[in-house]
Parts: sequence; C-alpha cells; structure tokens
Amino acid sequence: MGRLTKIIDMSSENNPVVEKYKFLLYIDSAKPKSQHAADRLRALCRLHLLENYTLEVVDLQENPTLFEYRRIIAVPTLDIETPASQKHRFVGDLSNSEIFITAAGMMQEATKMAKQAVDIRNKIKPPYKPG
Amino acid sequence: MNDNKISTGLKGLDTILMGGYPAACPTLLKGGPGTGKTVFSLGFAHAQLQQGASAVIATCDESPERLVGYMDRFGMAGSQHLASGKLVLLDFRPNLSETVVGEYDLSPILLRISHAVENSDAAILVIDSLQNLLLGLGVTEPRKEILELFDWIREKEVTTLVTMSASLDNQPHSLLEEYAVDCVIHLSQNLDNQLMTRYLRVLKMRGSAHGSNSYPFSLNHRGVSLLPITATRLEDAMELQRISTGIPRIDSMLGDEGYYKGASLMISGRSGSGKTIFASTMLNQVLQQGEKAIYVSFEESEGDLKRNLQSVGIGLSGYLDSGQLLIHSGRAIEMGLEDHLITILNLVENESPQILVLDPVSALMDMGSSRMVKMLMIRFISHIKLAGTTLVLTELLPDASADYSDLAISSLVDTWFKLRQVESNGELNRLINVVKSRGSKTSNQIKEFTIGDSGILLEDPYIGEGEVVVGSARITRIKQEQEEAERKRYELIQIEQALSTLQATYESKQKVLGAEFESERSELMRKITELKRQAGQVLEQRDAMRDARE
Repeated sequence: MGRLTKIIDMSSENNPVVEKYKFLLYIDSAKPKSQHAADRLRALCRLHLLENYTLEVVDLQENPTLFEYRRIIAVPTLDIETPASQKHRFVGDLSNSEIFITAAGMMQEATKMAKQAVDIRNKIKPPYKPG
Repeated sequence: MNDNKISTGLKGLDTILMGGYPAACPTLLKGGPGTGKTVFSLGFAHAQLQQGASAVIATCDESPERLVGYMDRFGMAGSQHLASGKLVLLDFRPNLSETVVGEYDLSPILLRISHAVENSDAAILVIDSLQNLLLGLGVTEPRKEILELFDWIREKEVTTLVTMSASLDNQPHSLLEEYAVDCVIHLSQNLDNQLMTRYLRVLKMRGSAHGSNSYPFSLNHRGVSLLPITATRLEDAMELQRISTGIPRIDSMLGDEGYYKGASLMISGRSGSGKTIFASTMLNQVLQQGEKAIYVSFEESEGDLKRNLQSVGIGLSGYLDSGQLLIHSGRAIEMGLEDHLITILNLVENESPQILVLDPVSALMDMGSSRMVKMLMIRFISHIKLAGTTLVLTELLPDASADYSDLAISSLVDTWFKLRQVESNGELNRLINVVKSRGSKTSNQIKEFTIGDSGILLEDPYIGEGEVVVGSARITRIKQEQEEAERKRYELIQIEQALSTLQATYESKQKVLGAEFESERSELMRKITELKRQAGQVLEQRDAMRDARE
C-alpha cells in the first residue's frame, strides 16, 4: 500500500485533470473465480462514488495473445490506469476488497481535488463486506 | 542415440543420461544460485534449434533480451533464431507491484505456454525458473495448479526442462520432485580449499538407466563443459604409429622406435632434474614434424619458458607466432582442479594437438583428496587418449622424497621416465631410466645425461662391478679400464711370443727326432737284408749238399 502514496505528486495539480479511469479486467470465462469479478468491480465503484471510469473485460479464451503481451499469469487481473496515467495491477476476484478500496481511494485522492478526496475517504471508513 | 531421449546439447551430459533428457515428459533441473541452471537450459534449446526444431523458453528470472544476449555470447546464435521465429521467448517475470485482492486462477500460465508451443510447433519447452513464476503473487512454493501444467506437458508429449532453485537446507523432496517430473538433476557447488567446483548428479530418471555419480562440470565463456566419463570405458582405438622423443638414445631405450602416438607419458623427478627440458624436447620434436602442440605450464610464464628453453637450444617463438604451438600458463590456485582439467580439455578439443604437455601435473595434485584427484586424473587421461593426443605429464618429486612417485597415477600412464640426480665426488649427476613402457622392449639401463647448449645429451654410464658410476668418477673408471686393457694387451703379446717360441722348439725337436728315426730304420733294414742274404746262402749250400749225395 505504501507504494501507492507515490501517486500523490505535485505534477498532477498542474496537469489538466483527465476525466476517466481506465479499467481493464482480464478474466477466464472457463473459471468460476472469474465469473463475478466484473460485477463486483462495478458494485465497488458504485459504493465508493467512483463514477468516471471505463471498463473493458478481456476473456483469456478469446484473446490469448493479449495475455502474453500484457504478461498476465493469473485471472482475474485488473489493470487500472488513473487519469494521471499511473498504472496499477490487482490480481484476484476482489473478495479481499479492503486492500482494493484503500488503493483505489488513494488513487482518487491523487487525481481529484483534495476536498472531494477527503469526502470519499470518510465514506469508505466502514469496510465493505461482500454478500 | 536413444529414441526416447532428446540430446541435452552437452556431450558429457548425454552420456550420463544415456542419450539425453527423457522425451515427451518434464525434467527438473534443481540447483542453488550460480550453478548454471540457465546455461544448461539455453544449451538444451540451442541443441534443438541447431537441428531446425523450434523451442519455447518461458523465462521467470531474466528478461528475454538478456537471455538472447547470453545465447549470442555463448555462440548459440540467439538473436538469429529469434528472428527466424524458431525461438519463442515467453516473459513470465514476476511483476512485483501486483496487489493480490482475493482468490485467483493460474489458467493463463498454461494457456500462454500451450498457445506458444502449439503456434510455433515447438519440440521442446524450457521453464527457467519455476520458483519465481508466482513470486509476484507472493507464492514461492509451486502450487497444485502448476502440476496441471506438468500433466498437460505429458499429455501433449512436449519434452520440457524446468529449472528450480534448490533450498540451501536439506528439505524433504517437494511434491514436484516426487510426483510431477520424470527426471531430476541436481546441480551444486562445493567449496574445497577455498576453490569452488560445480557438480551435477542425476537424482532419478523414470524408466531408464543413468549415470549415478556426482560429475564435476565447468561454466565458462563458451557455456557448460562436463568432464565426461565416456573414456573410462577403455575403448581407445589402437595406435601403432611411433613417435620419436627427439633424443635418439631415449628412443632406443624404448625399443628403438620412440613412444606410441597418443600414449600418455610421465616424467618424474625432483626440482632441477630436467623435467621441463625433457618434455620440451619431445614437444619440439612434434613441432618440427609440423604437428600442433599445447604446453600447459603451472610454473612459468610464456615469456620465461621461451627464454629458458632458448638457452638449451629449443626455440619456440616461431611456432608460437604461427599458431602451431599454444602455451597456456596459469597458477594452479586460480581455480579448482576440475575447472583446470576442463579448461585444458576444451583447449585440446579446439586445437586437437598431437601433443599436450602438463608441467608439472603435481601442481594440481594438492587441490583435493588424493582419491578424488586420482578419479579425476583417470577421466582426464583417458579423455585425452580418446582425443588421440599424446599426453606428457611432468611430476615434481619433493626433495625429501625417496624418489617415489607421490601421484597414484603411475599405473595410468603408458610410459614412465624417472630422472634422478646422484651425488658423488662433490658433483650432482643426472640419470634417466625407463620405469615402464607398455608395448615396447624397454631398456633396463640407467643412462646418464647432461644438459648443454643443444639440449639433452645422453652418455653411456659405466656399468659393471655392481655399481653405476657417473660423472668424473665415470671418466676415471673409463681411464682405469683403458689402462687395464693396455696391460692385458701387452701380456697377450708376450704369451703369443712364448707360444711361437714353443712352436719353433717343438718343430726343431721333431726334425731331430725324424732324422734319428730315419738312420735307425735304415740300419735295421740293412740288417734284415743281410740276414736274408745269409739265409739264402745256407739253403743253397744245403741243396748243393743233397745233390752231391745223390
């Protein structure tokens, strides 16, 4: 988690704010653990007021070459590109959402205005429990 | 070559594995850091690429670019094969910035590998190295899913080499070793006398025999070299050609013809007994015939050796310049014994010289336990023999020794010279004798030799009356002998004269005797005639009387 604090750098303030987060979710439709990853991601974003994103789902069974190119060894894998062009990779079905939420929250902090970020952080205090 | 084995790309390893890695199933190469796992796997891939097959390498440690760089540096034409599409590199390096957020499947690993293998129609697959594959996910032990990969390998009959780091402590064998793979090879490093040696051992190989010992090997700029054991099978070709030692009288000590081509010779002696000069004389002789030679010196640098040999009339500079002679100098302590021997073997393999001189081999001998050294020397000597190269070893005997060979390798060499220095009358004199020489009528004599401006000169030592006499004593002895002979000759003349006198006396006496005999005989004959005449007269008178009476 510590390395995510690197995202907060001064340059992002000078840059024009890029609107959207890019979510790339790699799954294997043949594997049960991949089945609900996309739904879970959408739910998490909704819950934590992360609205400005695009989500693309890539299925291993359909596009193996891309997996080679992106060097993916496990599914589901989530690649996030922040509006400040920072890249992050998460592996797993998001069932351990605490880590994801904290990390995602810190990304927002870096790219959104400080006030807005504080609001979101206050809201994510109670950890999200799926199901 | 065995049908169900695939060449490892390393001659020695193929022999140990009796053909190569088992085909159509996974082999595990296990070893600590720095034991050469990557080099082994690159060598394997190269061997297949050379034959026109395709290979897939999944790298989990180093970047594909670096692997290709290694191959290029080891002379394996990595970039060339990569460009032709025969070599496929899968980048499985762990991404350490990944965050694990829940459960996951590892199906992409199998899918990526199978995709690459099927697309390139690869004959072999290399995974280097397995324990780092899941490092990015915080997993260091192979998981159950990895076993699926091995099942797939067997099902698709892909010959696979998997490398894995060995734990330093003696952990029980992992699931992987016991279940998943068909052949396990251990690589290790041993530190002995501060010198590191790498060893290879085949732990198991399903359904096949294999060499079961620990085999030393060396990593160098050309890749992996194993000291193979093939030659210990005693299958050397018979060689009848004889080579002169360059010293005619030594040749005659070896049954008039010199040594057999490809033989191994040893020259033992204390320091200063002339071993180097002896060996160099033989080397020079071969060079003069236009053949190639290698001189490995553990004592002298190339320059020193050249100068020192020049002083006894052996000029090597010309041969060095033309590349006919290669001098390899190095201190024995530079590396382990195995590394030394493998380096020398590589030199021999590259140059295929007719003669190889190791001066002195004893420098290598205190580099390990005597048993281990002997085992290595057996391999080394027989390997050199297999290459058809004549091996000349010099052995430095300690000054305190009673001229006995310390090396237990004298039984391995074909011809063994012993050089000695004998002290007498305030001088040290050099002696040489042939202790043994297989397949030759060897001289039993001890010869004296001197070292002069034109090299080694053999003298006939004084032999007789029990002891060998050398040096000035020998010259005195020869003088004495000459006087003795002179005296004898004089005596002989005297006797001859006496004999002829005797003959003359005999002859004159014989004449006198003959004359006496003749006169005696004629006197007797005369008497006989007279008596006969008188007897006739008597008869005539009797007849006359009878006639008258009638």
